[in-house]
Amino acid sequence: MKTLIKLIPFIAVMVAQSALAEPVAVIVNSANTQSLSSAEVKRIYGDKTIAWDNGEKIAVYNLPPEDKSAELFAQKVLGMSARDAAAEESNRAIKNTSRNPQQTKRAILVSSIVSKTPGAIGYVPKDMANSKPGIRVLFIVE
Amino acid sequence: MQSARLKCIAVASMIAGISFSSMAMSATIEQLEQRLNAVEEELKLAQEEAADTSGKIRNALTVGGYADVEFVKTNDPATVGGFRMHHLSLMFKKQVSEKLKFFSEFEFEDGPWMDGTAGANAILVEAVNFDYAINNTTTARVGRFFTPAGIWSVDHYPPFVSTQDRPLHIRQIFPQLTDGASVTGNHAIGDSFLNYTLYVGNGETSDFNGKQDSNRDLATGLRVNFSLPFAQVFDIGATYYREMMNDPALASDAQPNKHAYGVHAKIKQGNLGMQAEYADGKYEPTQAIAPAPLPGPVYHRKGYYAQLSYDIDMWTVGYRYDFYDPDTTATLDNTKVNSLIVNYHVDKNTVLKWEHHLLNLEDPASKDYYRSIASVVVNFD
Repeated sequence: MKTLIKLIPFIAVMVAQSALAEPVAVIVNSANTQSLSSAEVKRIYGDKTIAWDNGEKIAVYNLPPEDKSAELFAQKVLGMSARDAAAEESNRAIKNTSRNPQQTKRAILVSSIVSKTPGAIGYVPKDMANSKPGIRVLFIVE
Repeated sequence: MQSARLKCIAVASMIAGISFSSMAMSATIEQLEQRLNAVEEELKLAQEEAADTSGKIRNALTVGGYADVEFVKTNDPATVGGFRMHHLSLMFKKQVSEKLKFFSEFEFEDGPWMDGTAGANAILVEAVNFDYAINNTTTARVGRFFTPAGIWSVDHYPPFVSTQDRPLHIRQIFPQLTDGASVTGNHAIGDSFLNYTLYVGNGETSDFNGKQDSNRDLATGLRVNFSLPFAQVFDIGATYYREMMNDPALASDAQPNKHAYGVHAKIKQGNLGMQAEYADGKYEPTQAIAPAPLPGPVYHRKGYYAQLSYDIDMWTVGYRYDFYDPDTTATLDNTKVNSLIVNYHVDKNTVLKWEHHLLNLEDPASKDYYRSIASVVVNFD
């Protein structure tokens, strides 16, 4: 019982943190008409799918693992923590098996790059995606 | 009366004028605010773009790598514990063109002195190869690379594995490195995913060098891995390897034809992870000159391990059971290892590890012993 009481503040912080996480929009360039499911996005970020249906290579953009949006995206879409997802990408790079290296940038740059790059995919806070022309939202992660 | 009316009209006109100009002013302020916000946004973006250099260096030669330092405590009579500068590994990569990529890894093991000869420390060129992307699913590689076999042979880098000591049979049945060429394919099959690597190389020999094939023919191998959609990670696969050895360390009439195979599995769901490998190498002694099988004893090397792990926030705890038999025709040469594992992930590039291995030797004349290792491992992205 004492242990449970000790855990209450920790649980409260966790709940508060998850409540604060803003929804995330998975985005592509507005010229890109291909639709993608969450499972297909997972394969892109898992380095399994590296090209769009038209054969063009996918430019994959990530947020830094300490970013709250990165954590929400990794948990809900990739099924792992953002730290684990970043470590997997680093592991692919170090063992030289990465087929389509990902780039990590801050959200404002990801939205800007995706709006200008037809072959790009990324994810940003929902509000940022809504206010940016040249972007198409694939789906929202909450 | 008329002047009073005129006064009223004048006052009303003034009020209307003031309110109109005030409305116009507030509209201008609103426009200015919007413009200011847009300029602020553009400035922020410009600052971010200026600070971000990764795009500019993407096609330049990049340097990465990792380093680790260990403290080893053991009661193994054959070794001495203490601090160990185990690895300093530098990787140079360059995307030469859209389709061509260069990769190399230089490893400084046990902190070698450039003029020193004592000890087993070494400078190793562990990888130097070129990748050519034939298309979006197939890549050809030529040069030196880690032999594609099972899991640990490739997926072995200290920042991303839970122990510094590898399972005993790794590198004993399938060789650590291959000088040769490979083709790797990646194909989606429904919700599953197939990855394969087919390769040829100079093969395994005690005088492994980068300039010639000492063996009687080229070694060939195939590794296949299926990623199935049953869990977060659900990988199963198999490896095959064959060669006709000509190892100067072995007698000329006992050069084996080697056939080895292995199976592997890796599963991760939630916080729980499991990884296991089994490998069996069959050695048929032959004469180096006339490589027909001899009536001499055919022997096998066998090894396997199973490792369970559980993640708790920044911690990973685990257990591994490991078995290795270097010669199935010999007696009292098996080793079993029980390992306890604790990792603390400081961040995605830094791990603090503690591992405790209890080695159980089949030979009663040899004393069982333990190896306990505390290490700090850092990856350089």
